[in-house]
Amino acid sequence: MKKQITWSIRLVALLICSFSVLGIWAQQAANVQGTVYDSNNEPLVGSTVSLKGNPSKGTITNIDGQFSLSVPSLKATLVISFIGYQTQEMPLQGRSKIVVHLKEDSKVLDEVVVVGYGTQKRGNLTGSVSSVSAKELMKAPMQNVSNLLTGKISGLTSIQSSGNPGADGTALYVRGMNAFSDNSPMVIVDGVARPMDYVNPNDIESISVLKDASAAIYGVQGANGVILITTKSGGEGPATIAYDASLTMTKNTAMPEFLNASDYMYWNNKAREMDGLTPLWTADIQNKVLSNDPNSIWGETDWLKKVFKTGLTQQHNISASGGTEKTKYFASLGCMDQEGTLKNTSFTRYNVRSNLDVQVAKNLRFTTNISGYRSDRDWPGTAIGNQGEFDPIRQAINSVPVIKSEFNGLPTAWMGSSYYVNGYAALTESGYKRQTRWALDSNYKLEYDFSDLTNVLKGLKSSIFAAYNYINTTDSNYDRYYELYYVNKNFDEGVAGASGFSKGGGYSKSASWGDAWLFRPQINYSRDFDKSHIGALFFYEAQKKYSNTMTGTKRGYYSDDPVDLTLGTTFPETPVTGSHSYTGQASWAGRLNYAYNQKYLAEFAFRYDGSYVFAPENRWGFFPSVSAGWVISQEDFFQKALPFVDYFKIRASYGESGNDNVTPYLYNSTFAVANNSMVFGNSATAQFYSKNPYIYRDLTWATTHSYNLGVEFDLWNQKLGVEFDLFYQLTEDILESKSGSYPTSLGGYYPSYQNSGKVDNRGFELTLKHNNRINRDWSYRLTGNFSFARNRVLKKAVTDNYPNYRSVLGESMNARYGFQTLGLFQSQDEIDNYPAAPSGNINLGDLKYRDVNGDGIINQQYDYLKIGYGSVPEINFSLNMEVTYKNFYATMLWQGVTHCDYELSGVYDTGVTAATSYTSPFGSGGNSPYYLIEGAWTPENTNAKYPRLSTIPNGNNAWRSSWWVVNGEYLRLKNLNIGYNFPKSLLQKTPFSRVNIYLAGTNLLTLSHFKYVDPESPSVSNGYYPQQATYSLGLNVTF
Amino acid sequence: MKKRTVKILIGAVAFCLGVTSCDVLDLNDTTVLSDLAVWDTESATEMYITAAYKTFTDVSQVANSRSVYYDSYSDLMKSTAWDLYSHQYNKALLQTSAFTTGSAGAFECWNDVYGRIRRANVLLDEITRYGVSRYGEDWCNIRRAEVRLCRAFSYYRLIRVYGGVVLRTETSGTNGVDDGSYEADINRKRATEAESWDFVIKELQWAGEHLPASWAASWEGRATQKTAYGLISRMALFAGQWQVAIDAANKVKSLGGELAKDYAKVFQVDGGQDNSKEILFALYYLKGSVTHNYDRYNRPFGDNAVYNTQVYAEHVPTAELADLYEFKDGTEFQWNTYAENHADPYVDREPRFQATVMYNGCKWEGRTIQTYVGGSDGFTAFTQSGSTNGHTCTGYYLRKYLQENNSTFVTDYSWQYDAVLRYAEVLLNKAEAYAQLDYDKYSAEALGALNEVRKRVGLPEKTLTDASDKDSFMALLRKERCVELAGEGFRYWDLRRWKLAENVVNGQNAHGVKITKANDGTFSYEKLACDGGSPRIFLEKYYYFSLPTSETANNKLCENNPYW
Repeated sequence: MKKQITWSIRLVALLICSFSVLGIWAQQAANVQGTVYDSNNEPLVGSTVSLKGNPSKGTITNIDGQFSLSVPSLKATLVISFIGYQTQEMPLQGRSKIVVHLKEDSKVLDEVVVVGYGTQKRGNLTGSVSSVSAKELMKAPMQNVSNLLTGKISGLTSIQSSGNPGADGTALYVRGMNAFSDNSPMVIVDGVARPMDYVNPNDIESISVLKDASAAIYGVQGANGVILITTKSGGEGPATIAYDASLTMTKNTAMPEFLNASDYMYWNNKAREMDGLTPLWTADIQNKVLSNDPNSIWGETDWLKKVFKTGLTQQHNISASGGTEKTKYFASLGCMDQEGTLKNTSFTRYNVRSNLDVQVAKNLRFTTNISGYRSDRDWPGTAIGNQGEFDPIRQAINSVPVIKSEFNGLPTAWMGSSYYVNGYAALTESGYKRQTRWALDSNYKLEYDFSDLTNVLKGLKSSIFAAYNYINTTDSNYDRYYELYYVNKNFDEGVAGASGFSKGGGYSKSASWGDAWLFRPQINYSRDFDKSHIGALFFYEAQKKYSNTMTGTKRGYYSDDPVDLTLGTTFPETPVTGSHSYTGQASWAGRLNYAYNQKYLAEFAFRYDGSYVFAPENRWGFFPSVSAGWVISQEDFFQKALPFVDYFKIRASYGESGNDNVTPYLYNSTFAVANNSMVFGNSATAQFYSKNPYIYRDLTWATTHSYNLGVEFDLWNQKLGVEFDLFYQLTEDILESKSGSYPTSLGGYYPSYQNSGKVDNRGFELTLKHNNRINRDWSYRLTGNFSFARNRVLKKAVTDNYPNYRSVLGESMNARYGFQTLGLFQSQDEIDNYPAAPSGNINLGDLKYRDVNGDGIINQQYDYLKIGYGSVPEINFSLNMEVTYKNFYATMLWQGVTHCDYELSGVYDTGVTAATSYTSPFGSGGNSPYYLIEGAWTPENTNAKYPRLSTIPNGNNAWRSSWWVVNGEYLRLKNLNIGYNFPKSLLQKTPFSRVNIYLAGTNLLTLSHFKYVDPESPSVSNGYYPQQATYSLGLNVTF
Repeated sequence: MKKRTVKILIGAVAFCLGVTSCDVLDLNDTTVLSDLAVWDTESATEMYITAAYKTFTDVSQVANSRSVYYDSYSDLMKSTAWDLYSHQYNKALLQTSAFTTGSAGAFECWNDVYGRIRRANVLLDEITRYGVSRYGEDWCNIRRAEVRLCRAFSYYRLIRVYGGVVLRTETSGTNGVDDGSYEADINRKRATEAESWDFVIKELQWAGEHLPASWAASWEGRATQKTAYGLISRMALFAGQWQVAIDAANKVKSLGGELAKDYAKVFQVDGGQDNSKEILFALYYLKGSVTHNYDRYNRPFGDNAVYNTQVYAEHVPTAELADLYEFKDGTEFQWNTYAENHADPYVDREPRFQATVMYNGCKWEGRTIQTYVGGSDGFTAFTQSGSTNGHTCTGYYLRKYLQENNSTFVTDYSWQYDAVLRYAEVLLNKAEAYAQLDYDKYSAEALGALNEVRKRVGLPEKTLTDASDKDSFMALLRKERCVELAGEGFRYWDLRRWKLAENVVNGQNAHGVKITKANDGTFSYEKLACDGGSPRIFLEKYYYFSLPTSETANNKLCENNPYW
């Protein structure tokens, strides 16, 4: 036997010498047979078995989990891999028959988790880090990464407030909010800050969220938590080519039903009657409307139906990955074509990626990730925006269902107040707003491993990491002038240009481009000494970002397609504008880990950060963090006492991090130019004026002190896994406006910003996992998350005469304030004895507010009270269920939030207080939803849900008040996926190693308090672009 | 192999050090200019200096007709919207809660105007620091005079709303830095109203002494001596300094102030008339570069159809104003008697009526204005909380300042100038000052000044028989100010100055004329209130509005006005 091995080694050596140049490997007679099982001793069908170092030599296990492979030598090592299981290397050590048990990927403490600037084994973690793998992420096809995260990570709050293609991303919050403004977490893609939503979701390997002191290594930008996205890389083995495709139908999650023609005329007449006005809709007009009289503009149109449709989205992805010992690759090509539910809105994105890992010389590795995308967004010329004046959805709502959509060869328009409205024409006739974006992101890393040089340097690696991003965006906006055949409330008819557009139209083109580089020399050390493990990390990081924009506009285009700026015939007042900016950051940072016997864990990290935002003398800050863990289950006494506990860890952390996202350069005196602002001597001149009257040299970042205490344990052979974290975060020095502290007669020449705000934030997260395989055919998995985060204002600059009962101290930062309603006026007596209303005239059925300080005047200053939670929920929960039966599987994700509110009426972003289409009957002279009209106060319906039926908008009813606050809690079936994996036995004769088909859906069912709008919808809107429920059919094929 | 690796490593370390040393943090905000750049060339400096005039554009009646068209707070004009187009006019007049402690409501301007004042103070400081050595004392004095005139105008804007002001006149403060570091700078008492006016008038007098009589053609439009004295004649009336007002008015005349020939053409950009002697200061606009939207916001409703676009008619003259215009022969207009001598209420009226008001049957761009119910420019009743959708609610439209035949007001907007200060006003100021000083003694001068204004439009002179005493003269003068200066933003401030707003505004309504066309083509006229059913409100405390809380809460020596 021994002789034979020696002989074969000689032969192999000879063969290698002879043929390695040609790359030809000779066959050798040694044959290995084996069986691959999972942890439950069930044979694994279709797992890949290959030779280490030569992945082209490989095979796949059969239906009994068996394989047979000829190897050059019985000293070779086999690599066994299977999707969802940990890849295992098995040295043959002379055996020709082996048995392999693959461990499942997900429930393993050895699982490697991506943390800031490195990776750690989950078992060694001392911070609160949640992660989600590609498999979990891709439950149902979604357009972008942020939308995929909802409900999948504990401690992560998500709000998707729009369904507009190209702008339908989800706002994410890690552990709620820590500052008065800017609470968005930092997003790092492959080691560099990059936007999340342009990453191809299919390229993602894992996403980690750093929630506590573990984010402190990101220093001055880490206070809101950090989301780390890691893309896939190739593994050793034969090339795997995967094709994923999906076809998705989208429908609005919610949209109220609006009055039809006959109901509109009935209710509008009735409302006018209550207003003391003569009915507008005479029998004559009613007849014309209902008979669709061809000689008049009257006729029935369902405007909402005309602007919305069922959207269709396609996604296709091809990826190839594999590699040898020296070269590993992952490459992909993705395409996403999304059509909105609002007509003429669409978004397409093409992604490419190539991740390469090459051993370029002994001990020297070079890795590079190069990715790029091109995206095209196509919107109509009329701006879409939930508070926009001419928003097409608002136009559809503000029109009336009693006119034809076209008349006299023109689109019609209704003028109920100051604008001509036709939502459909606004989508189809108004030109376009197109945006095309090209981006190239690249990472380069050269890493030298000193381990092989001498024993002293074992575990030491040094690397240089560099990244370069380039982005170019072109916006083409064409405001096409179009005419409408209008009718107004006085029944004047005529032809007019659409509101907001002027003759000849206008076309503007803007080019924005920018780049960013990052440079990071780094030293890593990781070594085990007997029972101790030591890890260390030290790096310097410099980054700089440049961005640039130039916009040109011309008017007077006398064709339907402007082609380009050249064809414009006139210049506007400001034909060209430009802007640019630089940002920069420099940092020193390091981390030290120590683990003893996998039992006692400790970590210290720091970052010394310099930010360009602040004055040079106040620019550098030090952000330390410490954490420790104790794996009690490793203690003998614990194992004896509680043998059913597989694993039990307690960990604690403290760290400091910052938030520097405030206006930069406030330490400079600056001037600005008002172009063409005055005329002297019959020519326009510009004016210079000083921009910031006060120079701030002492401003600094907000600092968050973050405390975390966590326990993790697994029971009964990992049947139950529990993770529980308690946290407390104290943020101080929040930059805030203190304009209320100085007399304004100083003309703004006083510090109006100061680092004075203080907020704390506390809460917990609980994750429960249960895995069970009932028998060979049935298995299931349950994962539940529950998280809670509540913040309180501890210090905030407010004016002196703020009444006590309005104090914001101790309240949540985003709590809502407004009038408290006492119901609707039911008698003239009540009206006569009522204090002065904040605005408008009071009638029976209008809202009655509480005069809190009893001064006889209801005003914002003295009578606002806390009326609700903010929009960011305090509590998030989700339950993920997975059932597998043979080759079928089904997953279901229920997700919900509570302790959040939104408002239907109140203060617009512009500061104006006004009603919306959801709260004001026949608001803006247009149509109204059924609920609002049928539930309105009338003499016959005094116990009403909504104020007086009227055609005259009443300022009194529009104020921020408890009446219009809606409980934003909801529970929804976020994902449902039913799929089938074709059995391996069927695929054996085909080139495919895996074929999977599925039906998936998102937002399929929503339980909420107000069914007419989506609970994630923004406050105070007049018809926003609704979120969508999706229905997908998908296919995954692996070669 | 090893050697190569070492080389790579050495190279890498060198590269690291190289990058580390180049500082990524020392970035300057390269998008803005430094103060040195502004003082580097004369043209740049002039652009910096002329920014002081922005305090005038803040209240331009033509450019900011949506926010500060002051006549719509008075009995002369009416806003056709409740709160559309950001209009505050009707809300301020009709809502009990329009004005509360802590804010001057629709007239709130304290913070903004003090921003202007601060910038003027900085400019004056920089003229001394950078300007003198570069451009010489004489050059600097002229610029100082401009800035001080603008600053005086800013204070005028404050005093007419709040009364006495906190005088802030320099940047240095008591300790060299007026940045709120020292209590002595933060806490400053309000000057009395009289002291405040004194300050304003003295500043204007200094400006008058140092400003040039005229500017080179390329800088025409900057303040001149006439501007300074014209403004003194206006503000001295507020101050009750009658002799100062008279002297200033006479000074304007001696500097060449004169009425232009044709009243209507004073407000026409291309009227073909030299208005330079009448217009003592104006804000100019220019087609294609510095424009506003006056035409679009004020054209009659029928222009909707003519131009296939939306026009708004946001401010319309009231019957109160229209009825003030005399007939050409100087007889008063009366609804119950006009028919005895005139076929139509709108014919035979004095020229300023045609120049200011568009009425049923008048000509406009080749068509006939139809304000009767159902006409192309038809009447729509005003309702509170609503708007008339661009129709008139008084039966009249505004003509003053509209540019007839500017057919490109949609694409090119509007560029007519705003005549901030006219010699006609100076004459009326003078007439009022003489009457107030001693009517018995100066009745000839007072009547003379008044008649000069009337003569231009061919109206018969008023005599001592028409105005035998001061009160009867003041009644004539008030009417003359209404009809001469209608739409120019004077009436509301005049009513406050005369303390007449409680009578003229409070408890009253503005009126319109609802015209009905009979089948035979004849019209019938019905005068009706057009405020939507409730009376207008002007309480005694409105003469001095509340200071903003930001001032009273932080300036310990600053007291708010009575009643607030």
